[in-house]
Amino acid sequence: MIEETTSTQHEQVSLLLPWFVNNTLDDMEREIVQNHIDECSECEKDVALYSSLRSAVTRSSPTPILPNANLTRLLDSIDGAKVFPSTRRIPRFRITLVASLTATLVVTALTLIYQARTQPVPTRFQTATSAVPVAAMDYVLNVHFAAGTEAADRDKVWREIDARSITPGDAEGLYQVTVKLRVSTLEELEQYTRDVQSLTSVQSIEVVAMQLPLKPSM
Amino acid sequence: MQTKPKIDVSNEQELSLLRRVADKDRDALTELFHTYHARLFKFVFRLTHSYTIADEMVNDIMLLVWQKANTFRGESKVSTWIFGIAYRQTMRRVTQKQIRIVTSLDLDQLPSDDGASLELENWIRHGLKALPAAQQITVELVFFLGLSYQEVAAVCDCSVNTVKTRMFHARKKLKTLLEPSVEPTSSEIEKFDD
Repeated sequence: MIEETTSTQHEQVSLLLPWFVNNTLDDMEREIVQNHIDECSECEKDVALYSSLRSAVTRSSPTPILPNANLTRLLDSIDGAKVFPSTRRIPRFRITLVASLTATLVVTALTLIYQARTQPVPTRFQTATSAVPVAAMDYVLNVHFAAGTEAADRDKVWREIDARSITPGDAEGLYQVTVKLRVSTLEELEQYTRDVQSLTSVQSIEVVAMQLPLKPSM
Repeated sequence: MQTKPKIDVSNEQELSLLRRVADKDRDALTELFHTYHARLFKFVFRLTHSYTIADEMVNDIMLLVWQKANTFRGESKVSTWIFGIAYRQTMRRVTQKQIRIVTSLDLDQLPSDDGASLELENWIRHGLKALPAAQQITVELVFFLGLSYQEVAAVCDCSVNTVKTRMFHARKKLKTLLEPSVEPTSSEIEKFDD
């Protein structure tokens, strides 16, 4: 039991020895360490070792002191006047590289903007109001037949308008068909719907959708 | 008879300075700079052996003091807080491999006029160099700056036990290196570079 206590005390004291040597232990700790050292040769040796280490560390001659000019640099850093201390100055080749890249990017951007403004952009998709001739496009039409219209009469209409696909009609005689049209203006489209509406048996017609071509009409 | 509580005049003055720095008082910063410049420079220089790096880092540390003065809660001495910044800056650079901790002493500066000094020089050359960065810095804090273990713990932002253990292991490694032979081989030294 006594041996255990002694062993624990030895370990605890052993950990305090550096601060025994540098004189920062409080009075009570210092006394405990001193009493232990008087009886423990191992700790006495360690104290000698730490003392040598301390001497070695403190015996080196003082390093040179920098001039006050550094304060100016610190104050400059605070003001943001110099973000980088002189020792961190960016190498000149990096500045040149960044400047070159920036200039290249700016020139490229300006060229693209200039081209975009001066050259007509090819119309990828054109609308029904466009005056430019366009390729044939699929239009979805709702065609409403008069009550009692025979299938044969409807077929005539389908052939007339060259219907591509026809949904089954509902009880009201409404059919949805797809046709391919080549119209340049809204007026032409309106004219087309009037033409279809004038066909026999057709009661009304309306354009409900337009499928744009996937490729531009060049 | 009651004993008067110890008042650390120096810390009180520095605390006052730091409060003014927190209020962005440049004169206070100037005063604090002059108070700490030499100690900080020596501390960093001894760890890095680079005049340039030490110069640069003192600037960085004082800039951080300026920026973070308002976060100081007064739980430690001002000096402990400032050296805590210095320690973290140093360790950060060591971790990022921007700097490497070199042996603590410039051997040319050691007196070598007697046998004991030469032996000591040899011991420092082979011993301290072999310690890991954290242990080397702890040795510096304890023996160069003369900090108590509580202060070292505050500077390193670690527990007191960690500090004690670091010094214990530093001593153990030094002893292991020194005891078998006066001149340890380079492979022996490398073994301790963990």
